[in-house]
Amino acid sequence: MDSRREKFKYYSIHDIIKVKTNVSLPIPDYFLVSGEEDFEPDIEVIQENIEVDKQREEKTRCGIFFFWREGSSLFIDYEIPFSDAKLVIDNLEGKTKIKFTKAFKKFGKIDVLFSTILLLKFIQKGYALIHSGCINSFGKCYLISAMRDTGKTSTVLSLFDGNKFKFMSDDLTILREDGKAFSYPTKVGISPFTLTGNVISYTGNRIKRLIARSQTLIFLLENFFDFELSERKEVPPELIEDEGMIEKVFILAGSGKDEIRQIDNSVAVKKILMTTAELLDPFRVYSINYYSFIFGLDTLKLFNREREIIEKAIADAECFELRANDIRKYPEMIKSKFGV
Amino acid sequence: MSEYKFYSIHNIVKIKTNTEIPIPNYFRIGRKIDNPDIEIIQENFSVNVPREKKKQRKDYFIWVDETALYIDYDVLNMKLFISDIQGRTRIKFTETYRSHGKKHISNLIDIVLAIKLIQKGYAPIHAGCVSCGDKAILISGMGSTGKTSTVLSLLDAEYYKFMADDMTIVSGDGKAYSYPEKVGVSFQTLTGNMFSPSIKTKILGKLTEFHLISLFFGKFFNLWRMEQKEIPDEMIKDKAFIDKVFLITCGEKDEIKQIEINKAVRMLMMSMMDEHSLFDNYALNFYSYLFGLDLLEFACKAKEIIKNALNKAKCFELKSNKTWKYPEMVKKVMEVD
Repeated sequence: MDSRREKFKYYSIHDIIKVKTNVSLPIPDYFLVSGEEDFEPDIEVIQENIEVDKQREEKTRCGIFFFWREGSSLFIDYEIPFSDAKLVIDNLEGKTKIKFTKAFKKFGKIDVLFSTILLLKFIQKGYALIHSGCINSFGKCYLISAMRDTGKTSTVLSLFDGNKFKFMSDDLTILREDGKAFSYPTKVGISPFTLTGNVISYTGNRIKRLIARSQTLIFLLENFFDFELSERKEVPPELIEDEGMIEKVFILAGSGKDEIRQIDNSVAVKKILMTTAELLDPFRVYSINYYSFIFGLDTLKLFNREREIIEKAIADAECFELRANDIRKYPEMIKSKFGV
Repeated sequence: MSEYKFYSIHNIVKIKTNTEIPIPNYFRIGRKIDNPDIEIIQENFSVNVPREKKKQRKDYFIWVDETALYIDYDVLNMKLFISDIQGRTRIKFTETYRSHGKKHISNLIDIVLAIKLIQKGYAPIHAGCVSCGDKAILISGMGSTGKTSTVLSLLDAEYYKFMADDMTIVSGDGKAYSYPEKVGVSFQTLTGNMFSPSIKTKILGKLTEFHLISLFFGKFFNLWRMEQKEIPDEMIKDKAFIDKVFLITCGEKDEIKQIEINKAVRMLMMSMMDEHSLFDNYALNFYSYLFGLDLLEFACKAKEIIKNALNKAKCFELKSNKTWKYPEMVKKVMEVD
């Protein structure tokens, strides 16, 4: 029994959501805990052998896979010989359990499945997981939101100095209705285009730096070969702040004349919601959709609740929209609003 | 020099294009439309925006002016232009943009069409539809669980006419509008009496009844969409009042169960978002982010429209694992009424 236990990893995300797993998941190591006897996971993600005693006729054929329900579980079975690909999703409304076989993990995009479930689980608990960076200055939080790869990381890293400004998140932040933000410090993805400030830097090698000069090369290598220009860096835990009250929201809105202007909070909500939907579209995983269809989980209603949570969370914050042709301008513009 | 084609989808949405788009030929009209709701143009175009004005995103540039979003890859002359989603929409792209992201463009057109319909008080749903007199019968389910088979098996050109196979348009006042795309008949599809598949399809169909063959060779030999069949115009009913809604949920036991309208609405919505999530297109997401277009609100509005559309309908859940049972079950319910 003890040797089995060793293989499990336990995470507690700010005591809001607890996760138990024996595979690697996109959760920051920052949330790793030891996993006491009374650890009650909200989400279990387990890779194991799944025995099924169903006849072919008892399953529903749907394209290239079969599915059926058993109690509160949805079973998906690809019936591939010698390579047993199965997935079980159990109880998305309560204590969720995801089980799959080794073969399923190979092509089943467990990361995407997990992050979608995490998003839904947060909403069920009254929190909104949003696509936004966040820095913390003496307990006050500044959200920095943008579409993918449009300067969010650069801005966060340029502002953050480990002293006056501490790091909370680069990509995902958790919000609560009372205006509190919680960190989600995933590894930071940086490329040679990223401005890195003084704390974290791009090491890369000479070849990567050369490649980065040509858009054509990046396009070809990233689309046709297994090439990744960016590298993932861990932010040291002592530079991370856990939580704080949301003070200001900065929306990076692309190119244009250098400008920072205050916007209506309702506009900021729309934009945060849109960039979150782009990153974590709650409808992108077919297995969750099938589950919802069969068990009547209203994903749309849940996602609409996410909007409500964001609305309330930033109700007292000041929201700004920033435009600049050069992403180096963003941190300066933001600093101008701090009054330092 | 390019020749334009015009489509009018039940006079609700009008489209002007010079390229192949995923809209049924049924809606093509001979005359010119002056104020199309959507213009879809494939052409070579250049944009004279100085490099430093563009926002660099690793391998492509993206930038905006007052009303439009531009995406420009430095490579292969790949360019995309989207303007005025809320008013008279224009989508422009170069040939290379289309060929490198084929699904991307048709997916973009699908979502823009959905937005247009919702704006005008109609909702696209992921359902097949047949008419029985003046009544429309909607048949929906997830992915490939037997929608097409059920629709085709019901058709008889006498009582049951064809309206749609994959997508139906519904309106808040309870009507269903046809959307007769070509029907993709694969080996698993039951085709009823209306068409007989070719010998080739029959032979391959027999082979692919074996799960293993379809699993390993299905994609490779493209067995999934064997034949694209066009339904003759005289067999198509244009619009009808929604009378019954059937949702295929599968299961071991054969069962027909009447369900509440709200449950049916939720299932229809789920099935639609699974097929075409409104958040599925990167360029449109980017446009929405920059111009403050609220796609989630569109989804919620669609749900409202579907709810109103089903107001006078009876909804049923069909449970069975045998596809050939569904048409029988539908007929049984229709006879009782």
